[in-house]
Formats: sequence, structure tokens, C-alpha cells
Amino acid sequence: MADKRNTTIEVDYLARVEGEGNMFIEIKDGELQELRFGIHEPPRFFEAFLKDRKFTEAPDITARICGICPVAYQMSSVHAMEDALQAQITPWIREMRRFFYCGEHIQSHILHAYLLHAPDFLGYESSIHMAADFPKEVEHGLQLKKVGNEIMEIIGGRAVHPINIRVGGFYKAPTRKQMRDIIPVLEKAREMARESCKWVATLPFPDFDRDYTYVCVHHPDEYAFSEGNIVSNKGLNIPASAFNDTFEEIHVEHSNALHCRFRDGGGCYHMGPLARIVNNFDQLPDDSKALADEIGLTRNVMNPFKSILARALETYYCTGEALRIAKEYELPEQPYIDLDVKAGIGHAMTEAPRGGLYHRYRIDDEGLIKEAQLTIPTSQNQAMIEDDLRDFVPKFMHLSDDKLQWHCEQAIRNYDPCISCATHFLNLTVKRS
Amino acid sequence: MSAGTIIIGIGNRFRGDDALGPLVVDALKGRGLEAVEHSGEPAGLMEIWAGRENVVLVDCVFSGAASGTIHEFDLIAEKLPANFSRATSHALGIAEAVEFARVLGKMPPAFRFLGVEGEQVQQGAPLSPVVGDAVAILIEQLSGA
Repeated sequence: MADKRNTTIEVDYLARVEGEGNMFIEIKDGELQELRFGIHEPPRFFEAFLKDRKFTEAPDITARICGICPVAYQMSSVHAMEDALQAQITPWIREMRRFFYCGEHIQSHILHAYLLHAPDFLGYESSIHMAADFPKEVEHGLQLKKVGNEIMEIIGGRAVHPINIRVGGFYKAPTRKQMRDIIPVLEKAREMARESCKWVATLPFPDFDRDYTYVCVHHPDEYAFSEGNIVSNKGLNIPASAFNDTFEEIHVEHSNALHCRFRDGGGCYHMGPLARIVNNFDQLPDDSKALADEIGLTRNVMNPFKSILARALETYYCTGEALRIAKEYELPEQPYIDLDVKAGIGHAMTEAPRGGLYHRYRIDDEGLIKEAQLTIPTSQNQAMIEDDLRDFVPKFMHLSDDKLQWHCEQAIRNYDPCISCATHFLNLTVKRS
Repeated sequence: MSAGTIIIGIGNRFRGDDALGPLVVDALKGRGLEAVEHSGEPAGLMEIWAGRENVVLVDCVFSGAASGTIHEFDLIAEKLPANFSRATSHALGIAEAVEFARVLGKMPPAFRFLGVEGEQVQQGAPLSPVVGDAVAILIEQLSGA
């Protein structure tokens, strides 16, 4: 490959990502001239739909933003509303929300890691092609995804767009039998998840380390899903209510999703499973830490391609956490708390599988939503995805156009982007002129 | 239908014509046949048809044909056309489930897909009349087979 290559790589619709996005790369005389990761999915105006709706409707309306991470929308909305109402949930509700989040992380991570991302590492067009050579692994993937769905059905009423979630708790508690019956399923899933981690660790990872600012929710006593401050590996530690004082959303011409960055000039930041592993490693139980060591996932991992390792490890963690909750399950007196409606402003950030999801609402004294702000993980990761590509392309310029395009798409999938959430992703254009 | 046969109705009974799979299941169960409603999730589907001699999948499709058109495919002999799958990149559809089963060696010996072209999938709407007519024909066909 000539050093002074001129080429354009243009992908109008990125495959194996959720929603519609595009990529444009122009290389002139062997130098990267222009690079854009655009999201051309049209805006969806959910924040406007929410205005003047009852505060109780937010979890069901916002869940419709995404068929993959409805739990995150429901959790961020209920936590933000409870913050606005200054309501305190019971330990039972808190525990079952963790169970719910385990289901979503398992099914979303497995779908992405096995069916969308692993084929990138192994050179297959799709997971169906991959299944011919890796039948056991793909079967484990399908089985684990089913387990994730089963958890969501038990607590959410159904696997997609769950209907059992209300501000203040759940409409109905799972039966003892439902929780008892899932125990052997989770025990088996745990072994499959452990084997998955070991298999994913054998994938070839491009040599590409960066200096990330990793941002996520952190809780001192547990691996955080939905409660805790927003922290970074570089010293940030703020409550969710300080989100807008710390981060800003800006419009860029080539994307229908807003980019996010630090207000203080700190640039873009990285959210998702790698951020959680790095910032919350100490909160992982010992067996998850030991497995992380065994598969080479360190507490200072900076290679974005290793996000697949982090997803596999979190899947393992979630099978164990869900198992713990199922074993300790007791029926509650009431699966929700009663709420006193009053005017207020509430904030929450919870951890969707692909990163932090921030919700802010202002409600009036009748409980009507007067303002809503939903800041989505893929929107927050978007600038970092572009930043990765700007660093990656010059370092891997020696690759053919086809291989360069392949790796650039893989690099985008490192973030498991959910574009229709972000509205919100991929056409790739590489131009060498 | 012969022993070892199961009819699997796919769909959402609260979304207009997408309800036809579950409604076919209701009708066939009422006639004493073995039928089950399912969301279409691949591993769960493969569990249902494991060890079965004869499996029929019933689903609502949107391929561009006239509403109420009945589509029949012998899944042992052919793949479902790509435009029959309602999968998004983040969800798996029936076509993917069948192809995973084919690659993983988990196909039943006899395996058919019966689809009815839908007209609408409005929340809470009943079946469209033309789709309802096709569903009645399908139920008779499956009951007598």
C-alpha cells in the first residue's frame, strides 16, 4: 500500500448496529483529511411528547424509545421521578430493580457480543455464518440471551417493553415459584457465561490503547446500576443533579444526535462497560475479579476493542447477582410505595448496557411533566467514537480500504451504539483522493 | 395433524394483524390440537420444536403482497425471504431463528412456515377483515391437515 494513498471510504448505512448511521473517511496524500460519524436517523421528539403527561406515564412512554434497553429508560425515569417527589423506595424494590437490570444487561450484552461484535473479530459476515464454525459458542449466546429475557419476563411482565414498572416500585411481585424456578436456570447460565468469557478472551484484539476519561455511576458498596454518584477515573464525583453543570450537549452539522462533552473544556468522555469495569472494579465480587484477571481484563484497560471482554464479564457478574437475588427472595407486603404528589425537579443517571442514561424532569403540583430532558448513552459516546476513529485511521493507514473499513466499523461497534435511541446512526464513506 | 406436530403462533395479540399467530393458536387449541403462542425468541423456539416431527410456524408478514395473501414455505427446502423477517439489527426475527437452527443442526424433520400478509399493526386494533378471512382459511387448513 502506497504511503501517499488517496481514498474515500463511505458507508451510507452501517450494519449490525441499532438504528441508522453513516461514516465518511477522506484520506489525501496518505493523510487523514476528514472523518465523520453521522447519525441520520430522524429526531423523535420524546421530550416534547412527555410535556403535560402525568409523571406516572414517564416509564412507559420513555421505554418506547428502545426495544433493547427499555429497562434503562424505565429505571432512569422512575428514579428521577422519585427524586422529584423525595420518595424513598423499600429495600425489596431496590433489590428487584437490580434483578431487572441484570436481565437487561445479560440479554443486551450477549446479543451485541455474540451476534453483532464477535463476527467482526473473526472475519464473519454475520453470526449465522459464524455459527457453522463456532456452534457451541453461538448456542451459549442464544441460551444466555433467553435467560436474560426470562428474568425480564418474571419481573417486567414481558421481555420487550416491560409493563410491570411504576414510579415507586412494581405493579405486581413475582411469585416465590417464579423466583425459585429461575435458580437452576441461572446456575447453568453462570457456567455458560464463564465459558463465554474465556472464549471471548481468545479473540484477536487490535493493538490500540487510548487515554480515556471513563464516566459512569458509582456506588461504594455494590457494582452500580442505578444508584450512586457520577464519577470518572480522573477525579469527577458529582450527584446526578450536577449533570448539566458538568456536561453540555452540542449540535454538530453531520448528526441528528447531540454530541456531549465536559463544560470545562475537558473534551469528550467514554461510557459503557469499560468505564464501569475501570471505575467500579473494586465493587465486583471476588469471583468476578478473579475471572477478570484470568481473561486479561485489567482495572486500567484502555483498549476499546476489549469492550467485548467487559460485556462478557458483566454478563457473568449479572448471572451471579440475579442468582443471589433469586435465592434470597421473599414476597413483599406491597411491591410499591405510595407517593405524595408535589411539584419538584428530579434527576437520575442509571447504567444502560451501553452507558449512562440521564433523565431530568420538572413536574408541577398536580404531577404533570412540565420539562423533560433525556441524555442518551450513544449520544454521549458519539464524540468519543469519532475521536477513536481519528486516532485509529492514521495508525492503521497501511491496511487496504476493505480492511480499514472493516476495522473502522468494528471500532464503532465497540460502543454497541444504539442509534435510534440517540437519534439518532451508519453510512461509511472512506475517501482517498 | 399427526402426533408429534406442533403449531407455533408468533405475534403480539394487542397489535392489529400481528395478533393472527396467537389467534390461530387459540382456535387450534379449541379443536384439541397442540399449539403454542411465542414471541419468536430463537433459543426458546428451538426448545419448543426439539424432538418434534412436524412443526408449523404461523406469523403475520409484510412482504409487499396484497393484504390477506397466504404465504407457505417448506423451511427444510428453502429459506424465508429476507423481507419476511421483522428483525432489526438489535433483535432477532423468525428468519434468523430458522437459519440458526439450520446451521446448528436443530431443524425438525418437517418444518413449514405459514404467513399471512398483514394490513396494519395498530395498537389495540382488531384483525383487518381481509386478514381475518385468510386466518379462517388457515385454521381450517391446519385443523384438517
